[in-house]
Amino acid sequence: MDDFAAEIGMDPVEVRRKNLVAPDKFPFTTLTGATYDSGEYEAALDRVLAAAGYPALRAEQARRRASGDVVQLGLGLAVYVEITAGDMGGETARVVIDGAGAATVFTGSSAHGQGHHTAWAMLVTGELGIPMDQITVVHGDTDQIPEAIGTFGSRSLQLGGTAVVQAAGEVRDQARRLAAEMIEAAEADLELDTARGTWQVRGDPATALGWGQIAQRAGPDGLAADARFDASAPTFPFGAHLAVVEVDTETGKARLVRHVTVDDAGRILNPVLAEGQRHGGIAQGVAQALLEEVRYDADGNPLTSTLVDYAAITAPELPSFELVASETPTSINPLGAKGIGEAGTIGSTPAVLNAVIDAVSHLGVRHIDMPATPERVWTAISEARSGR
Amino acid sequence: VDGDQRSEVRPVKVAISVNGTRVEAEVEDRLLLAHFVREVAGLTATNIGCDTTSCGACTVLLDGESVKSCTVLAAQADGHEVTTCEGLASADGQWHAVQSAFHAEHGLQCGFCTPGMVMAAVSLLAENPDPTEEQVRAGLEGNLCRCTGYHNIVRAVLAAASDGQQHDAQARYDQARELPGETS
Repeated sequence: MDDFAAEIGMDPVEVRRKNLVAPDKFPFTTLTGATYDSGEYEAALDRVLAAAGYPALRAEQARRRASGDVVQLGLGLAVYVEITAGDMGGETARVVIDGAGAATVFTGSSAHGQGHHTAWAMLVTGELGIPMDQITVVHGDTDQIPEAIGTFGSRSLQLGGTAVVQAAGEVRDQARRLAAEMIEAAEADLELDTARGTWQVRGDPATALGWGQIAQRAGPDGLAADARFDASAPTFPFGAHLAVVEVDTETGKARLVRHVTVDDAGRILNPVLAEGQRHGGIAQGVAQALLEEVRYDADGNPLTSTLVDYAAITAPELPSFELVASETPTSINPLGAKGIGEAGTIGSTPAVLNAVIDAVSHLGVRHIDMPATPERVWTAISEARSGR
Repeated sequence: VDGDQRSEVRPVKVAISVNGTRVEAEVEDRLLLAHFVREVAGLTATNIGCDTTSCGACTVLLDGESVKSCTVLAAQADGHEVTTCEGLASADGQWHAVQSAFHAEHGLQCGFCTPGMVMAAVSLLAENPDPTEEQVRAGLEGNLCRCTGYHNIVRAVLAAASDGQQHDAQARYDQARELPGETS
């Protein structure tokens, strides 16, 4: 896309802008058959440009080019749409309330750092009013969770999280029936005070019953409900990344100095967890563009089999990331959520590589293979300068 | 020289102070400090990630300075003081400022690099109590993280630095050692 922009003499931003799907076209079915659920693509691009100060960056780039600065500046854009929960396998959850009023959530979506314990507890607190510290999340035990799919493909919240909400909703319906018997009131007259975690006749705190009392009434096993959520379709997160790279034209060393992103994954449950997913994804995507490569010798022996040989990216090779918030809900699931796990990697790799090439495009460079190592960048500059 | 030297086990006696507790054992001369800490002292916060001195998951303090314990022999630590992540909190269970900051700033996801990252940060702040972001990043170069993109780890270290010395176990330790009437 940047080659096309350079060829016709248009700013890469404008080429993209002209080709983005407008908000009133959603749901949008592509020629290859995918149906994009929701999107604000141009707004994502504009937010990134505004946060980055795009015109000022272009001006600084022009200044360095005019002065023949050894360290040149490059701007790289990527606008993307991705598919999440595309496996269509569904997910399961079980919510149990014990006689002490504590909840246990059994989830088929196992956590390995994404923050499911926090997220699932937030969902149950929101549905039932049981405090977070009274909620235990159990995963990864097939004795207790016989049917499950797992955590991959940016699917957990939208499938597993929705299943948790549905199981909690079923528990709430059961509790309403039991509370009505206990208080001797009509179900329709009862309300759940989610701030206190109590059931009562509407407006009458004197009738309040706690979750523990109701769970005891349900029997020795407490209150329990299972749910399985199968989404009708995948969801399509989107975003825009702008990478700002400095390239030393004498050594070929490229350094990412700023990275500004919108990663819109629908409604956000927990901003801290969502940002964490973006941070990690961006870093891995940057690493793919600049450093990381699995290499083999002519006989097929792996040359990058330890962390000595494989260039995993380190803290000084990255800046702090500049994340811009954006939430465009989906109607595919009741949470309005799409996936966030892979967004960072999808946007950052092309943005950073585009930035490296942009930094040296005025020297005649049009293409550099990933990873854009100093050797490759230096070679590209040398070949362009010598007219090869 | 007779016999196969490669298979010859050479036991050595070591006495290492681990988190203030003296651990004595007869170990193989080739035993790494990382394995000593995990298997002899039984402290498994110290992770082993790569065995090639690349990842920093096994970082501990040796006489207060961070080392990758997969690249130190237990025999080399004989008579010295080792601090692991388990040894950072105070006796009453209060977390070290760096631990609290990692928690507050969401400085970890899967957690595998975290004990080593925390120990590297403690050492970094001991050397430079008021670092810039660039200095924090340079100081953590030897510790790999695959989840966080380092973003919140760097924020946590900067937050711990600005948090001052009031939660700092090392500062309390140093204070306690000061003689009455001595001016600092």
